[in-house]
Amino acid sequence: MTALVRSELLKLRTLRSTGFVLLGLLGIVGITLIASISEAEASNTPAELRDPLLLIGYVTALFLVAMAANASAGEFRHRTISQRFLCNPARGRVLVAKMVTYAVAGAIVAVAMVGLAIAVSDPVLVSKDLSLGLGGIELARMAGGVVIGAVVFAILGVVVGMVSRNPTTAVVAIFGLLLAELLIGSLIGGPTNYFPFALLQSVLGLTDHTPWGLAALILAAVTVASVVAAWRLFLWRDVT
Amino acid sequence: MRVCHQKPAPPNGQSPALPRGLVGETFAGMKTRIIQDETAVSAPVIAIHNLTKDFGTIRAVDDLSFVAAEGKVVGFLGPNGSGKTTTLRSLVGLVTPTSGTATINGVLYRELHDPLSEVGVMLEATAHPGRTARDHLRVLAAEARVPAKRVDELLELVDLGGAARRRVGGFSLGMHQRLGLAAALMGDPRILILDEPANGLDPEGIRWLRDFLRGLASEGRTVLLSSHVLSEVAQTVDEVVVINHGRLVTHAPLEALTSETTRRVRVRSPQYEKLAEVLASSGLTAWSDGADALLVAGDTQEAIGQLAFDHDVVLYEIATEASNLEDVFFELTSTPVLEATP
Repeated sequence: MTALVRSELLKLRTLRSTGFVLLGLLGIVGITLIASISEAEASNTPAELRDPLLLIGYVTALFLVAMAANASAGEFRHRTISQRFLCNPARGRVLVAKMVTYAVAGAIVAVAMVGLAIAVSDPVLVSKDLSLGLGGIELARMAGGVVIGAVVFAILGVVVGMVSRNPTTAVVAIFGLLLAELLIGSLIGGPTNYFPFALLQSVLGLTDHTPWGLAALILAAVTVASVVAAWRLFLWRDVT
Repeated sequence: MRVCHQKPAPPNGQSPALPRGLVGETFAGMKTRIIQDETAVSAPVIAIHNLTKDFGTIRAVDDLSFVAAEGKVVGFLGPNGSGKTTTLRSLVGLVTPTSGTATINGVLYRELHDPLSEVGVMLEATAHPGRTARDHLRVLAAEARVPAKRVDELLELVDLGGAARRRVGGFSLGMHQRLGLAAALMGDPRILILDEPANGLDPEGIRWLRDFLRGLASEGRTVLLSSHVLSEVAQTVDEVVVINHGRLVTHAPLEALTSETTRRVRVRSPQYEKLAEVLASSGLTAWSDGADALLVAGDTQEAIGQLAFDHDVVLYEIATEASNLEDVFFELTSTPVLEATP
Protein backbone atom coordinates (compact mmCIF):
# COMPACT_ATOMS: atom_id res chain seq x y z
CA MET A 1 0.00 0.00 0.00
CA THR A 2 2.89 2.33 0.77
CA ALA A 3 4.24 1.85 -2.75
CA LEU A 4 0.84 2.56 -4.21
CA VAL A 5 0.39 5.74 -2.22
CA ARG A 6 3.91 6.83 -3.14
CA SER A 7 3.07 6.20 -6.77
CA GLU A 8 -0.12 8.25 -6.48
CA LEU A 9 1.76 11.11 -4.88
CA LEU A 10 4.36 10.94 -7.64
CA LYS A 11 1.56 11.15 -10.18
CA LEU A 12 0.30 14.31 -8.54
CA ARG A 13 3.77 15.81 -8.37
CA THR A 14 4.61 15.11 -11.99
CA LEU A 15 1.63 16.89 -13.53
CA ARG A 16 1.55 20.59 -14.22
CA SER A 17 -2.19 20.64 -13.56
CA THR A 18 -1.50 20.03 -9.86
CA GLY A 19 0.55 23.22 -9.80
CA PHE A 20 -2.19 25.10 -11.60
CA VAL A 21 -4.74 23.96 -9.01
CA LEU A 22 -2.49 25.12 -6.18
CA LEU A 23 -1.89 28.44 -7.92
CA GLY A 24 -5.64 28.83 -8.41
CA LEU A 25 -6.20 28.16 -4.73
CA LEU A 26 -3.51 30.65 -3.76
CA GLY A 27 -5.19 33.19 -6.01
CA ILE A 28 -8.51 32.62 -4.27
CA VAL A 29 -6.83 32.88 -0.87
CA GLY A 30 -5.26 36.18 -1.93
CA ILE A 31 -8.49 37.65 -3.31
CA THR A 32 -10.46 36.54 -0.26
CA LEU A 33 -7.89 38.04 2.09
CA ILE A 34 -7.76 41.36 0.27
CA ALA A 35 -11.55 41.61 0.28
CA SER A 36 -11.94 40.55 3.89
CA ILE A 37 -9.16 42.75 5.27
CA SER A 38 -10.36 45.80 3.40
CA GLU A 39 -13.82 45.36 4.88
CA ALA A 40 -12.67 44.13 8.27
CA GLU A 41 -13.83 47.23 10.10
CA ALA A 42 -17.42 46.46 9.11
CA SER A 43 -17.31 43.17 10.98
CA ASN A 44 -18.78 43.21 14.46
CA THR A 45 -17.41 40.03 15.96
CA PRO A 46 -14.35 37.78 15.69
CA ALA A 47 -16.64 35.10 14.27
CA GLU A 48 -17.51 37.38 11.35
CA LEU A 49 -13.82 38.01 10.81
CA ARG A 50 -13.22 34.29 10.72
CA ASP A 51 -15.86 33.65 8.04
CA PRO A 52 -13.59 34.49 5.09
CA LEU A 53 -11.05 32.01 6.42
CA LEU A 54 -13.71 29.32 6.64
CA LEU A 55 -14.81 30.24 3.15
CA ILE A 56 -11.27 29.46 2.02
CA GLY A 57 -11.67 26.03 3.63
CA TYR A 58 -14.96 25.58 1.77
CA VAL A 59 -13.52 26.60 -1.60
CA THR A 60 -10.50 24.38 -0.99
CA ALA A 61 -12.82 21.41 -0.41
CA LEU A 62 -14.61 22.22 -3.69
CA PHE A 63 -11.28 22.34 -5.51
CA LEU A 64 -10.23 19.06 -3.94
CA VAL A 65 -13.41 17.20 -4.81
CA ALA A 66 -13.19 18.39 -8.41
CA MET A 67 -9.47 17.65 -8.66
CA ALA A 68 -9.78 14.16 -7.17
CA ALA A 69 -12.74 13.34 -9.41
CA ASN A 70 -10.99 14.66 -12.50
CA ALA A 71 -7.75 12.82 -11.76
CA SER A 72 -9.44 9.51 -10.91
CA ALA A 73 -11.71 9.61 -13.94
CA GLY A 74 -8.75 10.76 -16.01
CA GLU A 75 -7.12 7.39 -15.40
CA PHE A 76 -9.93 5.90 -17.45
CA ARG A 77 -9.90 8.65 -20.04
CA HIS A 78 -6.18 8.26 -20.65
CA ARG A 79 -6.51 4.49 -20.19
CA THR A 80 -3.74 4.40 -17.64
CA ILE A 81 -6.12 2.61 -15.29
CA SER A 82 -5.22 -0.60 -17.12
CA GLN A 83 -1.67 -0.28 -15.86
CA ARG A 84 -2.93 0.37 -12.34
CA PHE A 85 -5.06 -2.77 -12.36
CA LEU A 86 -2.38 -4.84 -14.10
CA CYS A 87 0.08 -3.93 -11.39
CA ASN A 88 -2.54 -4.39 -8.67
CA PRO A 89 -5.12 -6.98 -9.73
CA ALA A 90 -6.81 -6.50 -6.35
CA ARG A 91 -8.54 -3.35 -7.50
CA GLY A 92 -9.65 -2.35 -4.03
CA ARG A 93 -6.04 -1.51 -3.22
CA VAL A 94 -5.97 1.00 -6.07
CA LEU A 95 -9.15 2.64 -4.80
CA VAL A 96 -7.87 2.76 -1.22
CA ALA A 97 -4.49 4.16 -2.31
CA LYS A 98 -6.19 6.93 -4.25
CA MET A 99 -8.47 7.78 -1.33
CA VAL A 100 -5.58 7.83 1.14
CA THR A 101 -3.44 9.93 -1.17
CA TYR A 102 -6.07 12.53 -1.94
CA ALA A 103 -7.28 12.60 1.66
CA VAL A 104 -3.79 13.20 3.05
CA ALA A 105 -2.76 15.62 0.30
CA GLY A 106 -6.13 17.36 0.57
CA ALA A 107 -5.84 17.77 4.33
CA ILE A 108 -2.33 19.20 4.01
CA VAL A 109 -3.35 21.61 1.26
CA ALA A 110 -6.49 22.75 3.10
CA VAL A 111 -4.62 23.33 6.38
CA ALA A 112 -1.86 25.11 4.48
CA MET A 113 -4.30 27.42 2.69
CA VAL A 114 -6.26 28.31 5.80
CA GLY A 115 -3.05 28.54 7.83
CA LEU A 116 -1.56 30.89 5.25
CA ALA A 117 -4.71 33.00 5.35
CA ILE A 118 -4.52 33.21 9.16
CA ALA A 119 -0.80 33.97 9.08
CA VAL A 120 -1.36 36.85 6.67
CA SER A 121 -4.58 38.28 8.01
CA ASP A 122 -3.97 38.03 11.76
CA PRO A 123 -1.12 40.60 11.97
CA VAL A 124 -2.99 42.95 9.66
CA LEU A 125 -6.15 42.69 11.76
CA VAL A 126 -4.18 43.17 14.98
CA SER A 127 -2.70 46.34 13.53
CA LYS A 128 -6.30 47.52 13.08
CA ASP A 129 -7.14 46.61 16.68
CA LEU A 130 -9.20 43.70 15.49
CA SER A 131 -8.89 40.02 16.44
CA LEU A 132 -9.80 36.71 14.88
CA GLY A 133 -10.40 35.40 18.38
CA LEU A 134 -8.58 32.17 17.64
CA GLY A 135 -8.18 30.69 21.08
CA GLY A 136 -7.24 27.06 21.53
CA ILE A 137 -10.74 25.65 21.15
CA GLU A 138 -11.70 27.85 18.21
CA LEU A 139 -8.46 27.06 16.43
CA ALA A 140 -8.87 23.34 17.04
CA ARG A 141 -12.45 23.41 15.83
CA MET A 142 -11.50 25.37 12.73
CA ALA A 143 -8.60 23.03 11.97
CA GLY A 144 -10.79 19.99 12.59
CA GLY A 145 -13.50 21.30 10.28
CA VAL A 146 -11.03 22.14 7.55
CA VAL A 147 -9.35 18.73 7.76
CA ILE A 148 -12.62 16.80 7.89
CA GLY A 149 -14.06 18.78 4.99
CA ALA A 150 -10.95 18.28 2.88
CA VAL A 151 -10.63 14.58 3.65
CA VAL A 152 -14.30 13.77 3.09
CA PHE A 153 -14.60 15.72 -0.14
CA ALA A 154 -11.31 14.40 -1.52
CA ILE A 155 -12.51 10.86 -0.91
CA LEU A 156 -15.91 11.60 -2.45
CA GLY A 157 -14.11 13.05 -5.46
CA VAL A 158 -12.14 9.84 -5.93
CA VAL A 159 -15.33 7.79 -5.66
CA VAL A 160 -17.20 9.94 -8.18
CA GLY A 161 -14.26 9.76 -10.58
CA MET A 162 -13.88 5.99 -10.33
CA VAL A 163 -17.60 5.45 -10.78
CA SER A 164 -18.17 7.89 -13.62
CA ARG A 165 -14.94 7.01 -15.48
CA ASN A 166 -15.21 10.30 -17.35
CA PRO A 167 -13.65 13.54 -16.06
CA THR A 168 -16.28 15.82 -17.58
CA THR A 169 -19.14 13.70 -16.29
CA ALA A 170 -17.53 13.57 -12.86
CA VAL A 171 -16.99 17.30 -12.52
CA VAL A 172 -20.40 18.15 -13.98
CA ALA A 173 -22.02 15.67 -11.59
CA ILE A 174 -20.32 17.28 -8.58
CA PHE A 175 -21.18 20.85 -9.44
CA GLY A 176 -24.60 19.78 -10.71
CA LEU A 177 -25.22 18.32 -7.27
CA LEU A 178 -24.05 21.54 -5.65
CA LEU A 179 -26.36 23.56 -7.89
CA ALA A 180 -29.27 21.19 -7.28
CA GLU A 181 -28.67 21.40 -3.56
CA LEU A 182 -28.78 25.19 -3.68
CA LEU A 183 -31.92 25.21 -5.81
CA ILE A 184 -33.73 22.66 -3.68
CA GLY A 185 -32.55 24.48 -0.58
CA SER A 186 -34.11 27.70 -1.81
CA LEU A 187 -37.40 25.87 -2.36
CA ILE A 188 -37.75 23.59 0.65
CA GLY A 189 -35.15 24.90 3.04
CA GLY A 190 -34.63 22.76 6.15
CA PRO A 191 -34.09 19.20 4.85
CA THR A 192 -31.28 20.33 2.57
CA ASN A 193 -29.25 21.14 5.67
CA TYR A 194 -28.42 17.44 5.64
CA PHE A 195 -27.18 17.48 2.05
CA PRO A 196 -23.40 17.12 1.53
CA PHE A 197 -22.44 20.70 0.70
CA ALA A 198 -24.64 22.12 3.47
CA LEU A 199 -23.07 19.65 5.89
CA LEU A 200 -19.63 20.82 4.75
CA GLN A 201 -20.59 24.36 5.70
CA SER A 202 -21.75 23.16 9.10
CA VAL A 203 -18.56 21.19 9.68
CA LEU A 204 -16.47 24.21 8.78
CA GLY A 205 -18.58 26.46 11.00
CA LEU A 206 -19.81 28.66 8.15
CA THR A 207 -23.37 27.88 9.20
CA ASP A 208 -24.88 26.42 12.33
CA HIS A 209 -27.87 24.68 10.74
CA THR A 210 -26.56 21.32 11.84
CA PRO A 211 -24.44 20.73 14.95
CA TRP A 212 -20.75 20.37 14.14
CA GLY A 213 -20.42 16.80 15.42
CA LEU A 214 -23.62 15.60 13.79
CA ALA A 215 -22.62 17.14 10.46
CA ALA A 216 -19.22 15.44 10.64
CA LEU A 217 -20.87 12.15 11.54
CA ILE A 218 -23.34 12.31 8.66
CA LEU A 219 -20.62 13.28 6.19
CA ALA A 220 -18.51 10.36 7.39
CA ALA A 221 -21.47 8.01 6.98
CA VAL A 222 -22.17 9.32 3.47
CA THR A 223 -18.52 8.84 2.57
CA VAL A 224 -18.37 5.31 3.90
CA ALA A 225 -21.61 4.40 2.10
CA SER A 226 -20.28 5.87 -1.15
CA VAL A 227 -17.01 3.97 -0.88
CA VAL A 228 -18.77 0.69 -0.13
CA ALA A 229 -21.18 1.21 -3.04
CA ALA A 230 -18.35 2.06 -5.42
CA TRP A 231 -16.35 -0.95 -4.24
CA ARG A 232 -19.18 -3.43 -4.57
CA LEU A 233 -21.05 -2.11 -7.59
CA PHE A 234 -18.56 -0.36 -9.82
CA LEU A 235 -14.97 -1.31 -9.11
CA TRP A 236 -15.10 -4.66 -10.86
CA ARG A 237 -16.66 -3.50 -14.09
CA ASP A 238 -14.79 -4.51 -17.22
CA VAL A 239 -12.00 -2.22 -18.35
CA THR A 240 -12.40 -2.28 -22.10
CA MET B 1 -20.58 -14.32 -56.73
CA ARG B 2 -18.60 -15.74 -53.88
CA VAL B 3 -18.77 -19.24 -52.61
CA CYS B 4 -17.29 -19.68 -49.23
CA HIS B 5 -17.66 -22.86 -47.24
CA GLN B 6 -15.37 -24.58 -44.88
CA LYS B 7 -14.54 -28.17 -45.10
CA PRO B 8 -16.29 -30.25 -42.43
CA ALA B 9 -13.97 -31.91 -39.98
CA PRO B 10 -13.43 -35.60 -40.69
CA PRO B 11 -14.73 -38.06 -38.09
CA ASN B 12 -11.36 -38.65 -36.54
CA GLY B 13 -10.95 -34.97 -36.02
CA GLN B 14 -7.90 -34.77 -38.24
CA SER B 15 -7.65 -32.60 -41.25
CA PRO B 16 -6.42 -34.36 -44.37
CA ALA B 17 -4.74 -31.17 -45.40
CA LEU B 18 -2.38 -31.19 -42.48
CA PRO B 19 1.27 -31.78 -43.15
CA ARG B 20 3.02 -34.91 -41.96
CA GLY B 21 3.99 -34.81 -38.34
CA LEU B 22 1.12 -32.57 -37.30
CA VAL B 23 -2.11 -33.39 -35.58
CA GLY B 24 -5.42 -31.62 -35.84
CA GLU B 25 -8.53 -31.27 -33.71
CA THR B 26 -11.93 -29.72 -34.01
CA PHE B 27 -13.39 -27.21 -31.62
CA ALA B 28 -17.04 -26.46 -30.93
CA GLY B 29 -18.30 -28.26 -33.99
CA MET B 30 -16.70 -25.94 -36.48
CA LYS B 31 -13.71 -26.61 -38.57
CA THR B 32 -10.76 -25.29 -36.72
CA ARG B 33 -7.31 -26.65 -36.70
CA ILE B 34 -4.89 -27.09 -33.89
CA ILE B 35 -1.61 -28.05 -35.40
CA GLN B 36 1.19 -28.82 -33.04
CA ASP B 37 4.73 -29.73 -33.68
CA GLU B 38 5.07 -33.21 -32.19
CA THR B 39 8.53 -32.35 -30.96
CA ALA B 40 7.24 -29.46 -28.89
CA VAL B 41 7.17 -30.47 -25.25
CA SER B 42 7.25 -27.08 -23.54
CA ALA B 43 4.69 -26.51 -20.83
CA PRO B 44 1.88 -24.10 -21.70
CA VAL B 45 2.33 -20.84 -19.88
CA ILE B 46 -0.74 -19.22 -21.35
CA ALA B 47 -3.91 -21.28 -21.52
CA ILE B 48 -7.25 -20.09 -22.82
CA HIS B 49 -9.93 -22.67 -22.14
CA ASN B 50 -13.45 -22.44 -23.56
CA LEU B 51 -13.38 -18.69 -23.10
CA THR B 52 -16.59 -16.86 -23.87
CA LYS B 53 -17.30 -13.17 -23.34
CA ASP B 54 -20.57 -11.42 -24.03
CA PHE B 55 -21.05 -7.66 -24.00
CA GLY B 56 -24.81 -7.42 -23.75
CA THR B 57 -26.13 -9.23 -26.78
CA ILE B 58 -22.79 -9.13 -28.57
CA ARG B 59 -20.63 -12.23 -28.24
CA ALA B 60 -17.08 -10.94 -28.53
CA VAL B 61 -15.32 -14.23 -27.77
CA ASP B 62 -16.98 -17.55 -28.41
CA ASP B 63 -15.73 -20.72 -26.75
CA LEU B 64 -12.13 -19.98 -27.58
CA SER B 65 -9.37 -22.37 -26.55
CA PHE B 66 -5.66 -22.38 -27.22
CA VAL B 67 -2.35 -22.52 -25.39
CA ALA B 68 0.98 -20.82 -25.79
CA ALA B 69 4.01 -22.85 -24.80
CA GLU B 70 7.02 -21.60 -22.91
CA GLY B 71 9.64 -19.88 -25.02
CA LYS B 72 7.39 -19.52 -28.05
CA VAL B 73 6.45 -16.37 -29.88
CA VAL B 74 2.81 -16.78 -30.75
CA GLY B 75 1.05 -14.51 -33.18
CA PHE B 76 -2.57 -13.92 -32.17
CA LEU B 77 -4.26 -12.88 -35.35
CA GLY B 78 -7.65 -11.83 -36.51
CA PRO B 79 -9.39 -8.98 -38.26
CA ASN B 80 -10.43 -5.88 -36.38
CA GLY B 81 -13.30 -6.75 -34.05
CA SER B 82 -12.52 -10.46 -34.06
CA GLY B 83 -12.12 -10.62 -30.28
CA LYS B 84 -8.35 -10.45 -29.87
CA THR B 85 -8.28 -7.57 -27.45
CA THR B 86 -11.16 -8.95 -25.40
CA THR B 87 -9.34 -12.26 -25.15
CA LEU B 88 -6.14 -10.59 -24.01
CA ARG B 89 -8.01 -8.41 -21.52
CA SER B 90 -9.72 -11.51 -20.15
CA LEU B 91 -6.33 -13.15 -19.82
CA VAL B 92 -5.01 -10.33 -17.64
CA GLY B 93 -8.15 -9.85 -15.59
CA LEU B 94 -9.32 -6.54 -16.97
CA VAL B 95 -12.41 -8.18 -18.41
CA THR B 96 -14.40 -10.85 -16.60
CA PRO B 97 -15.21 -13.78 -18.89
CA THR B 98 -18.81 -14.85 -19.23
CA SER B 99 -17.56 -18.42 -19.05
CA GLY B 100 -14.33 -20.34 -19.44
CA THR B 101 -10.91 -19.55 -18.07
CA ALA B 102 -7.76 -17.78 -19.12
CA THR B 103 -4.69 -18.61 -17.08
CA ILE B 104 -1.02 -17.77 -16.90
CA ASN B 105 1.29 -20.40 -15.49
CA GLY B 106 -1.81 -22.28 -14.42
CA VAL B 107 -3.42 -19.54 -12.37
CA LEU B 108 -5.64 -16.55 -13.01
CA TYR B 109 -3.78 -13.28 -13.50
CA ARG B 110 -5.17 -11.86 -10.27
CA GLU B 111 -3.69 -14.81 -8.39
CA LEU B 112 -0.15 -14.08 -9.56
CA HIS B 113 2.01 -13.09 -6.62
CA ASP B 114 3.96 -10.37 -8.41
CA PRO B 115 2.22 -9.86 -11.76
CA LEU B 116 4.62 -7.42 -13.39
CA SER B 117 7.64 -9.63 -12.75
CA GLU B 118 5.87 -12.57 -14.39
CA VAL B 119 3.89 -10.97 -17.18
CA GLY B 120 4.52 -7.82 -19.15
CA VAL B 121 1.42 -6.45 -20.78
CA MET B 122 0.98 -3.82 -23.43
CA LEU B 123 -2.66 -3.55 -24.30
CA GLU B 124 -2.54 -0.01 -25.52
CA ALA B 125 0.31 2.40 -25.56
CA THR B 126 -1.17 4.98 -23.24
CA ALA B 127 0.19 7.45 -20.79
CA HIS B 128 -1.00 10.76 -19.42
CA PRO B 129 -0.17 13.31 -22.13
CA GLY B 130 0.97 15.86 -19.57
CA ARG B 131 3.57 13.60 -18.01
CA THR B 132 7.08 13.03 -19.37
CA ALA B 133 8.10 9.58 -20.58
CA ARG B 134 10.49 9.25 -17.68
CA ASP B 135 7.90 10.30 -15.11
CA HIS B 136 5.38 7.91 -16.63
CA LEU B 137 7.77 5.03 -16.06
CA ARG B 138 8.80 6.35 -12.64
CA VAL B 139 5.18 6.18 -11.54
CA LEU B 140 4.96 2.60 -12.74
CA ALA B 141 8.28 1.70 -11.13
CA ALA B 142 7.15 3.14 -7.80
CA GLU B 143 3.93 1.19 -8.00
CA ALA B 144 5.71 -2.04 -8.88
CA ARG B 145 8.46 -1.46 -6.31
CA VAL B 146 11.07 -1.59 -9.04
CA PRO B 147 14.31 0.41 -8.50
CA ALA B 148 14.16 3.79 -10.23
CA LYS B 149 17.37 3.09 -12.18
CA ARG B 150 15.37 0.55 -14.20
CA VAL B 151 13.48 3.46 -15.75
CA ASP B 152 16.54 4.85 -17.49
CA GLU B 153 17.60 1.37 -18.57
CA LEU B 154 14.24 0.81 -20.20
CA LEU B 155 14.20 4.18 -21.91
CA GLU B 156 17.56 3.35 -23.47
CA LEU B 157 16.37 -0.14 -24.37
CA VAL B 158 13.46 1.20 -26.42
CA ASP B 159 15.50 4.05 -27.90
CA LEU B 160 13.66 6.74 -25.99
CA GLY B 161 16.61 7.96 -23.95
CA GLY B 162 16.72 11.22 -25.85
CA ALA B 163 13.02 11.84 -25.35
CA ALA B 164 12.91 10.88 -21.68
CA ARG B 165 12.04 14.38 -20.50
CA ARG B 166 9.58 15.18 -23.25
CA ARG B 167 5.87 15.16 -22.48
CA VAL B 168 4.09 12.11 -23.85
CA GLY B 169 1.41 14.29 -25.45
CA GLY B 170 3.95 15.32 -28.08
CA PHE B 171 5.02 11.78 -28.91
CA SER B 172 4.51 10.13 -32.29
CA LEU B 173 2.58 6.88 -32.43
CA GLY B 174 5.82 4.96 -32.74
CA MET B 175 7.21 6.61 -29.62
CA HIS B 176 4.00 5.79 -27.78
CA GLN B 177 4.42 2.15 -28.76
CA ARG B 178 8.01 2.13 -27.56
CA LEU B 179 6.98 3.64 -24.27
CA GLY B 180 4.29 0.99 -23.96
CA LEU B 181 6.88 -1.70 -24.54
CA ALA B 182 9.13 -0.16 -21.92
CA ALA B 183 6.26 -0.23 -19.45
CA ALA B 184 5.57 -3.88 -20.29
CA LEU B 185 9.20 -4.75 -19.59
CA MET B 186 9.29 -2.92 -16.26
CA GLY B 187 9.36 -6.09 -14.14
CA ASP B 188 11.65 -7.96 -16.57
CA PRO B 189 8.96 -10.60 -17.12
CA ARG B 190 9.37 -13.96 -18.86
CA ILE B 191 5.97 -13.65 -20.50
CA LEU B 192 4.91 -10.77 -22.72
CA ILE B 193 1.41 -10.05 -23.94
CA LEU B 194 1.37 -7.36 -26.59
CA ASP B 195 -1.78 -6.12 -28.26
CA GLU B 196 -1.17 -4.75 -31.74
CA PRO B 197 2.26 -3.35 -30.92
CA ALA B 198 2.86 -2.57 -34.59
CA ASN B 199 -0.41 -0.73 -35.00
CA GLY B 200 0.16 2.52 -36.84
CA LEU B 201 3.91 2.13 -37.07
CA ASP B 202 5.72 3.21 -40.20
CA PRO B 203 7.95 0.67 -42.00
CA GLU B 204 10.97 1.77 -40.04
CA GLY B 205 9.07 1.37 -36.79
CA ILE B 206 7.84 -2.08 -37.77
CA ARG B 207 11.38 -3.10 -38.58
CA TRP B 208 12.56 -1.79 -35.23
CA LEU B 209 9.76 -3.67 -33.47
CA ARG B 210 10.55 -6.87 -35.33
CA ASP B 211 14.20 -6.72 -34.32
CA PHE B 212 13.21 -5.85 -30.78
CA LEU B 213 10.82 -8.77 -30.47
CA ARG B 214 13.35 -11.11 -32.02
CA GLY B 215 15.76 -10.03 -29.32
CA LEU B 216 13.18 -10.80 -26.63
CA ALA B 217 12.41 -14.17 -28.19
CA SER B 218 16.09 -15.05 -28.34
CA GLU B 219 16.18 -14.64 -24.57
CA GLY B 220 13.62 -17.41 -24.30
CA ARG B 221 10.68 -15.26 -23.35
CA THR B 222 7.18 -16.32 -24.22
CA VAL B 223 5.43 -13.70 -26.30
CA LEU B 224 1.77 -13.55 -27.24
CA LEU B 225 1.53 -10.93 -29.91
CA SER B 226 -1.72 -9.83 -31.48
CA SER B 227 -2.05 -8.26 -34.88
CA HIS B 228 -4.58 -7.92 -37.64
CA VAL B 229 -1.89 -8.24 -40.29
CA LEU B 230 -0.21 -11.63 -40.62
CA SER B 231 2.68 -10.41 -42.74
CA GLU B 232 3.49 -7.87 -40.04
CA VAL B 233 4.37 -10.58 -37.54
CA ALA B 234 5.35 -13.38 -39.91
CA GLN B 235 9.06 -12.82 -39.45
CA THR B 236 8.76 -12.81 -35.69
CA VAL B 237 6.39 -15.56 -34.61
CA ASP B 238 6.89 -19.30 -34.22
CA GLU B 239 3.22 -20.13 -34.47
CA VAL B 240 -0.04 -18.40 -35.07
CA VAL B 241 -3.47 -18.51 -33.53
CA VAL B 242 -6.07 -17.11 -35.89
CA ILE B 243 -9.51 -16.13 -34.66
CA ASN B 244 -12.51 -14.65 -36.37
CA HIS B 245 -15.86 -13.66 -34.90
CA GLY B 246 -14.44 -14.63 -31.52
CA ARG B 247 -13.83 -18.22 -32.57
CA LEU B 248 -10.68 -20.15 -33.22
CA VAL B 249 -9.98 -20.58 -36.91
CA THR B 250 -6.57 -22.16 -36.75
CA HIS B 251 -3.61 -22.67 -34.45
CA ALA B 252 -0.53 -23.75 -36.33
CA PRO B 253 3.19 -23.30 -36.65
CA LEU B 254 3.84 -20.56 -39.13
CA GLU B 255 5.58 -22.93 -41.56
CA ALA B 256 2.59 -25.24 -41.63
CA LEU B 257 0.28 -22.39 -42.35
CA THR B 258 2.38 -20.97 -45.13
CA SER B 259 3.26 -24.31 -46.72
CA GLU B 260 -0.16 -25.91 -46.71
CA THR B 261 -2.77 -23.25 -46.57
CA THR B 262 -1.15 -21.14 -49.21
CA ARG B 263 -1.78 -23.80 -51.80
CA ARG B 264 -4.82 -22.90 -53.89
CA VAL B 265 -6.15 -24.22 -57.12
CA ARG B 266 -7.42 -21.89 -59.82
CA VAL B 267 -10.15 -23.41 -61.97
CA ARG B 268 -11.78 -21.94 -65.08
CA SER B 269 -15.00 -23.42 -66.33
CA PRO B 270 -17.92 -22.38 -68.55
CA GLN B 271 -20.08 -24.19 -65.96
CA TYR B 272 -18.86 -21.88 -63.28
CA GLU B 273 -21.95 -21.93 -61.07
CA LYS B 274 -22.37 -25.70 -61.24
CA LEU B 275 -18.73 -26.13 -60.32
CA ALA B 276 -19.21 -23.80 -57.38
CA GLU B 277 -22.11 -25.91 -56.13
CA VAL B 278 -20.14 -29.13 -56.54
CA LEU B 279 -17.22 -27.71 -54.62
CA ALA B 280 -19.47 -26.38 -51.90
CA SER B 281 -21.27 -29.69 -51.54
CA SER B 282 -17.86 -31.33 -51.13
CA GLY B 283 -17.04 -28.94 -48.38
CA LEU B 284 -14.34 -27.05 -50.21
CA THR B 285 -13.74 -23.34 -49.89
CA ALA B 286 -13.96 -21.44 -53.15
CA TRP B 287 -13.76 -17.80 -54.13
CA SER B 288 -14.76 -16.13 -57.35
CA ASP B 289 -11.69 -15.06 -59.32
CA GLY B 290 -12.92 -13.30 -62.42
CA ALA B 291 -15.81 -13.96 -64.73
CA ASP B 292 -15.48 -17.73 -65.10
CA ALA B 293 -12.85 -18.73 -62.58
CA LEU B 294 -12.74 -19.93 -59.00
CA LEU B 295 -9.95 -20.16 -56.48
CA VAL B 296 -10.32 -23.35 -54.44
CA ALA B 297 -8.60 -24.11 -51.17
CA GLY B 298 -8.44 -27.31 -49.22
CA ASP B 299 -7.61 -29.95 -51.76
CA THR B 300 -5.20 -30.80 -54.54
CA GLN B 301 -5.39 -29.97 -58.20
CA GLU B 302 -5.86 -33.67 -58.99
CA ALA B 303 -8.72 -34.13 -56.55
CA ILE B 304 -10.56 -31.06 -57.79
CA GLY B 305 -10.09 -32.16 -61.40
CA GLN B 306 -11.51 -35.57 -60.53
CA LEU B 307 -14.42 -33.94 -58.72
CA ALA B 308 -15.26 -31.85 -61.79
CA PHE B 309 -15.00 -34.90 -64.03
CA ASP B 310 -17.27 -36.95 -61.76
CA HIS B 311 -19.93 -34.24 -61.97
CA ASP B 312 -19.58 -33.67 -65.73
CA VAL B 313 -18.20 -30.17 -65.31
CA VAL B 314 -16.10 -28.94 -68.22
CA LEU B 315 -12.84 -27.31 -67.23
CA TYR B 316 -10.85 -24.88 -69.38
CA GLU B 317 -8.01 -24.52 -66.98
CA ILE B 318 -6.82 -25.92 -63.66
CA ALA B 319 -3.60 -24.88 -61.97
CA THR B 320 -2.12 -24.72 -58.49
CA GLU B 321 -1.26 -21.27 -57.29
CA ALA B 322 0.82 -20.15 -54.36
CA SER B 323 -0.62 -17.30 -52.38
CA ASN B 324 1.13 -14.86 -50.11
CA LEU B 325 0.61 -14.45 -46.41
CA GLU B 326 -1.99 -11.77 -46.87
CA ASP B 327 -4.04 -14.13 -49.00
CA VAL B 328 -3.71 -16.87 -46.39
CA PHE B 329 -4.88 -14.58 -43.67
CA PHE B 330 -7.75 -13.35 -45.78
CA GLU B 331 -8.79 -16.90 -46.59
CA LEU B 332 -8.71 -17.89 -42.96
CA THR B 333 -10.62 -14.91 -41.67
CA SER B 334 -13.04 -14.07 -44.44
CA THR B 335 -15.03 -17.27 -44.11
CA PRO B 336 -18.38 -16.71 -42.45
CA VAL B 337 -18.18 -18.76 -39.31
CA LEU B 338 -21.87 -19.65 -39.24
CA GLU B 339 -21.52 -21.43 -42.56
CA ALA B 340 -18.72 -23.43 -41.10
CA THR B 341 -20.88 -24.86 -38.37
CA PRO B 342 -22.40 -28.19 -39.46
